[in-house]
Amino acid sequence: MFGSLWLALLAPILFMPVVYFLGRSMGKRVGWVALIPLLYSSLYFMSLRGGVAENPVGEYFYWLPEIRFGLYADSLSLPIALTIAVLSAIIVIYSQPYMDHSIHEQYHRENNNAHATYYALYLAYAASMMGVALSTNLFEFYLFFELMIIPSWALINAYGSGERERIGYMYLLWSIFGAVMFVTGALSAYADTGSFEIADLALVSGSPWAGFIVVSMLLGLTVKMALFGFHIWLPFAHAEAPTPISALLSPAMIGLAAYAVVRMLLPVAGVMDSGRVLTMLWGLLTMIYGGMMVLPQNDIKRLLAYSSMSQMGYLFIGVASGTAIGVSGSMMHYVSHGLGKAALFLSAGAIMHQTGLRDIRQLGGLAAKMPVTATAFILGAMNIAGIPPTVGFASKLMVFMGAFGPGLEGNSVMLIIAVVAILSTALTVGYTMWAMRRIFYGPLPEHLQEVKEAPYMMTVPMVLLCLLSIILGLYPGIILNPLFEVVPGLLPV
Amino acid sequence: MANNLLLLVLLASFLCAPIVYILGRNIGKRVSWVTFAALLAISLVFAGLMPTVEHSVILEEYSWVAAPVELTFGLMADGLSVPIVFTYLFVFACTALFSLQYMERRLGLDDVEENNEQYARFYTFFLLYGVSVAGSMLATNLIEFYLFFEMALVFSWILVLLFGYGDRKRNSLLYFLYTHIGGGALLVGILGAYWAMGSFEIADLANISSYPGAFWIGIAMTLGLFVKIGALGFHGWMPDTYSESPAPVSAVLGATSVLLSTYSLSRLMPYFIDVLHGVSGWLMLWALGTILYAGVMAIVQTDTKRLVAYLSMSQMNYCVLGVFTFIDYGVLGAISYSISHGLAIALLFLVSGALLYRTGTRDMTKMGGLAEKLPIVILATMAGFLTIGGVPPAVGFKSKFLLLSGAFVRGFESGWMELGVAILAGSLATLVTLAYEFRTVWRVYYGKLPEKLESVAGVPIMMAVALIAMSALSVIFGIWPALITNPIEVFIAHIFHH
Repeated sequence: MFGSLWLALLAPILFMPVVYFLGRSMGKRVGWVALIPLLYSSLYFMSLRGGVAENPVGEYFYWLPEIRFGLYADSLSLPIALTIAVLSAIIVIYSQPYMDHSIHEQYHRENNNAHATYYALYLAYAASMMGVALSTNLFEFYLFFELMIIPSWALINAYGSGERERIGYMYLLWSIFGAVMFVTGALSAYADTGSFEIADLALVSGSPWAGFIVVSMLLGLTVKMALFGFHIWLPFAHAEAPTPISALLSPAMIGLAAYAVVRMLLPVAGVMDSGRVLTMLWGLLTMIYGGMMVLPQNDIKRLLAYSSMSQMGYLFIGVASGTAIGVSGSMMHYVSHGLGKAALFLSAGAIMHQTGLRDIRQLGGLAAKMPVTATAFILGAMNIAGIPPTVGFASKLMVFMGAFGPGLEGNSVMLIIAVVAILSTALTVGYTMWAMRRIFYGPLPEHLQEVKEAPYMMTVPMVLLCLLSIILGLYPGIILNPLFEVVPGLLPV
Repeated sequence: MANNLLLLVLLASFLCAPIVYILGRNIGKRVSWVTFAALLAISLVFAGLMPTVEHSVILEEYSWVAAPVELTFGLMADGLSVPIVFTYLFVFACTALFSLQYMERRLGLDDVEENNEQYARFYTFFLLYGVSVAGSMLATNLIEFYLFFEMALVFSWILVLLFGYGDRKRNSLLYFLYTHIGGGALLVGILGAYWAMGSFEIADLANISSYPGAFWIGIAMTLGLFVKIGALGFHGWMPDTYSESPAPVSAVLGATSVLLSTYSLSRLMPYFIDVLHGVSGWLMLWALGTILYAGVMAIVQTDTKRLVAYLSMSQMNYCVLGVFTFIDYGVLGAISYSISHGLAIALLFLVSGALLYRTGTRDMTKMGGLAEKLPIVILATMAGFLTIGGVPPAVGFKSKFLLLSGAFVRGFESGWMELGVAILAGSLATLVTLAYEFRTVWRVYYGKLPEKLESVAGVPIMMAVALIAMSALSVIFGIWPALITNPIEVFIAHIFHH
């Protein structure tokens, strides 16, 4: 297909001014214009899918005489970038009715400027996430990593709900805190190896600084993943961001940190493996704490936010296991969590849009009134709980197989961690099903008698997400087979 | 190209001063257009020189004094001076454009009379200030450098004295004394260098480390420049002078401080690498102390201009830190960061001026929700903040990252103290920076719009144009940093890899 990786990455950014200026006169319909570059990126990444397993694509240029910027698509980074592109393209359609409604509520009038700014920021946000996935250079990675923070902050700050300014500020400070921890490690790695290339990071293995470098980069990335202790910002930011943005923030952005751990830190021999008990425990703690915190939530978005935190625990356990199958499972779970959690957020948004309510105690019996939304919620829930035929089944199974790997080698602590992790998956099933029951079943309250199904532009994106997760659930090999060829190569021997 | 281009440009711009004065007495405030045109024209000349200095150095020498010492009046444009002079003059030009309506308001206050004479004086001294600074950045010998350096001080002092707010006599005296004492220390260093090697030529400093006393000469020059850059302990003049000057003056003062001192440090200090390497770690630590102290002070300010003053003091010291890493990336980062910072700080001072112009207050606790009312101002604020915070897509990102890379390399080479400085500068200081920046954005532009400000109108068109031009340059440099870094790299390659 026509194009290049750089074009696919930069297309959304090049469209920013177009979208902004058109949006000032077109209003909400400019969402269709914003769809063009995202669709292009998705199609371009899709067209590469067949070939990257044998021939990874890399495009490079020198930014400074000794610093080379590049984009690299192999069968590890491509599924991630593709997920981001597809999610952004689908969610941009959904944004139109949703943002129209919420901008109306905020300003009490037509506000084309607000639409124009929203879609321009949205494009910047999507492009920066793809950039993080494809970067080959620490300098470049950090550039996109920081770039990701600004539009998401602005989107929360200007379009969020509740105390959006305070929450936006908190989100920003935590994100920057993570970014500076990361950059401390990255610059130390440069000082140690003399190279900013991500592929050269493995060279720090054996250096006395390897521990410091890996730990500080890891801590930086885990802030983004909101692992236990670094999670304070997550329930606020994800609950109060505008819903389409929550649907991107939650699965697509925070999971990127797990990808970065795989790409950058696992290849460094001798650090992640020596701290395996600690990191796996950390993942387990996050998983259980997040899961427990879901149960008492009555706010539908806060509930989903905690469930994201819990899912990050799964992602992290798979990565921390350091086994090929566990790591591949985690990367696969990035995709399934992306599809599943986005579907959940979109259906939560549809409920808020149609009923004006987000308190679960005031909801009930909506399955009859909003069948498509209810189906999307069920499938999304099945996906993150790992129930077939959704893709979540394959990914979660692999994460657990990976977690058992080190356990079966005779380390009893690991074995216990793996068993507890598997048992705690009941928690996921439990909280999603319980939320289902409270929202969609039981008696329909008086005030919801008149509720109708959400408009097509909201239901079609949900259906697309569910279809994708079922297709991938039936043929997980589309992603898994090529993934499996790359991941073992990244693990130190 | 004329082989005495630099001299012609410099002379022509000095000659503009009497023209501006005489015209100003007749046409009043409209003379700002003449000033703007003159400054823009000179800055464009330097923009045009940018490709030339990527491969060669432009050097002009004229005999100046024959006895008792032989002095040449030289002008040199190389990869270091051209990008800095261009940015500097561009900032001056934009500020002149901005000042049109602002000075009208300023001169309308009770303590000064508004008449054509005042406009004539303002723009004459404004122009002279700009040209003197440019002169000191082109000088090839230390006496010439010092001469222009002091001229710049005098002209800026007059601007603060005549047009400042509040207790302007006290503030300008404070400014003059501090900077003059700093200049004195610089002069001690210069005379020491002459006494040691018998020459005032900057190029002759190349052998300085073989002379006795080189260490103290380097220290004297450093301390002199530290006053200009507001290093902790030498910063007494800075908050008052910056916050009590009219916004256009604060803007150019801010840009001068950072650009002139970073230029001077990067021009002079590499000659002292051998002798100063031992103490440079402590100088880095000093810079870090200033960054953190001023950063924390910035968080607690409620006055917009004092906030920008502390912010400027904090960020300028990144340049000091970068230069004293004595690592190629560190110095490259420091020079390009000074360019980013010079643009951004002027932009932010103009922003605070625009806010004052429209809301009538500098107190942030009385502001809020202005994003809707002043969209161009918030864009300019964000451009300035992102540049200073080192956040892409502004130019600050690349420069700060390079600077910190240099600091980390230095840390790994030298030991715990330097490494600690690098780590804290990269982490804690960055966090502090973004904390006060985004707190300000929140307080001024978001939240509830106070009733008093319901009727705020957008900024006047010329102010908007000036703000947009400077923000645009910052983003353009951010997207194509090679525009400025290519010439600077030539200079860096020259000092570090002979």
